[in-house]
Amino acid sequence: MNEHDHNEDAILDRNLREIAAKLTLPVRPGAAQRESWRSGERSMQRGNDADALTNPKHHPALRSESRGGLMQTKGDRRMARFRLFTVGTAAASVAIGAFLIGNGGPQTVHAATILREFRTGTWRAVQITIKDVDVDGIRVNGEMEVGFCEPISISEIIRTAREGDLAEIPEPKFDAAYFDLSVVAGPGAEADVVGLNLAVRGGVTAIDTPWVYLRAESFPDEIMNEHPEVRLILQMFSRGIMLDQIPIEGDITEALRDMSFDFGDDDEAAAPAAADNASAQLQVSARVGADGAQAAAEIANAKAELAGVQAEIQREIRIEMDRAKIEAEVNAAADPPTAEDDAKQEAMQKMLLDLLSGEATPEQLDEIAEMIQAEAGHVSVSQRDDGTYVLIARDIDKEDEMMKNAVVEIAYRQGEGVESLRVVGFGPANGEILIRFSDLPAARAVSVRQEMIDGGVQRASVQELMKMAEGMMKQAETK
Amino acid sequence: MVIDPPTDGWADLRREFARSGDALHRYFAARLGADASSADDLMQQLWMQAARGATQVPAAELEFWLRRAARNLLATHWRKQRTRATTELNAAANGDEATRLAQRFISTALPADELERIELHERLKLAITALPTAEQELLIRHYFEGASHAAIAEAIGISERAVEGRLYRARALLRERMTRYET
Repeated sequence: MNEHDHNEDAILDRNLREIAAKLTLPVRPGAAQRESWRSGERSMQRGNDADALTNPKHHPALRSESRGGLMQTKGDRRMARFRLFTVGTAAASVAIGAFLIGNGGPQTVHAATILREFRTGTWRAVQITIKDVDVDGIRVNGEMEVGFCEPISISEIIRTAREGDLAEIPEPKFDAAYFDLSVVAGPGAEADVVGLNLAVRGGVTAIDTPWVYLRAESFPDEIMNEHPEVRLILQMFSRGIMLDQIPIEGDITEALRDMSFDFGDDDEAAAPAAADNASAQLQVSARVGADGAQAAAEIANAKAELAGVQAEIQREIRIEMDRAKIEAEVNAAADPPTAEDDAKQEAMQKMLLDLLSGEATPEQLDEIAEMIQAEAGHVSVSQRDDGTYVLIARDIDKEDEMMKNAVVEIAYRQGEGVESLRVVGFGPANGEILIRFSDLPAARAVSVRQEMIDGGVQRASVQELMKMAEGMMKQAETK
Repeated sequence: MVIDPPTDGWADLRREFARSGDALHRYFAARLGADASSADDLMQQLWMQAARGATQVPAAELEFWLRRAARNLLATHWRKQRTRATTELNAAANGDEATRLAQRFISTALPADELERIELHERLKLAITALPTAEQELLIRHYFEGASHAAIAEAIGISERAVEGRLYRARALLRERMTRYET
């Protein structure tokens, strides 16, 4: 303990002694009161004993063991949120294909059962592990966890995502989300990100402010060469730093509902370019806690401005005090997507979502069957020694660079439902994506943060980080 | 992967619930304010949830599991109520003035008039009841129930020096909690 800590501790000790007589804490409960909390214990115990001790579904570690190698946690657990929709729809395509191209017999029965459970099963948390997924030269490893306050079904998640209007969700059930990513941009990546080597973790719960931990091994070569002073900031990030208590007004679900976007409210920001093949800088500010109606109007306005322009957020994200500022480069498209392309993509997504959410009509099924039969060349269902059924689909889409070598496995246990969905051989690095479903609450948004704090991680608020970075830049300028 | 053998989940859960029960009840009561009678209802719900879902959670993780479940229950309670029963309490504990006083509380020997401020009381109440069970009980026994180092040492079977060390750690955690408002 250094002298400063000692002094602060002595002050707190003194203040606690002084305030103790003035502050009334909730009274300690009595014995009868304590007893009343567990009044339903006997019936609960009778009902749960057999299930709790024999059903491995109640604990992730036991669940992993029960499933054999397929579900084993991968050594250094890292995770990414990455092209999830693409992967999800690809996997869904395969699953649907397996269902539709089955030609009778027990295999078809199993496939149908597995897919029905996949659609209707409910979970408390979804855990996604990504290993060596390589897209456009950027290698991503990591994991993500999303939890819900109450059990939720995949149909419900998809319906929510499809509605796209968060304000319309009556009672969001989001509980917590956590991610832990490693992102490395290799020589094959876009020139302006080559050399980036970043580890980022973060978490948010329905009732906590978000936190993010950043550790950078290196920034993109282009930035390092053009702005050597950035090396000082890299030094700060190379040791790892946690940005804590990122300001969010109200709870996170309220904040999501009230998110608004301000376009071009900065003198430095240019208006978005018209669709004239030029490039322009666009600054987008996402402010949380603003008026919902105003936000909706601003988003509608922004969409109108960007109509016909292919926008890519590819520059940087800055966080300033109470707002996240995203600097994006908008490239007016040389070949903007045609209305036909848009309609085709939209129709495909709609069909998949209809099918997964159980809303597809028989006519749509015929149409989907026609489209999907070409996507999965080989489908099989087998039973493992542990009783798990595994649906495996290969030769999914030979034309698709990401999926041409991919194999999709869906593991299903009778009486419990779909336990996991795994894609191996994904992308040029033969990456792997594993999606697991859990009945336990998602806890890592809180537990990992606490572990890092207990481990002595350097912490700073967004404001403190900004000040540190500013100080370093000034220091570099004066040299 | 090494899997721990199944333990007697019920015994572990009962033990942890008995150990952390007071702290969890205090957590609810401090946040429910005038609606404190609901704290017992929430404790019953917490036990029901734990009985359904926590008998296979390793003993070392049970306190954490219970705290997470308690937070979720409280959030659900507030959603159902449509408004926080503790609006005034939270407003008092979450305002700029509360933040200023909290900062001063951990860094300056406060004069008597500031120690009387309701904003400070509410912030301190929320901060203490959010601490883990061991640290929370230690601070309450020592500062609010007047137990000496020696009495605590005897009660929990450790040396007085160890009690001092644990109190130091508990104050360090409290200092951190005071500077960030949490529900």
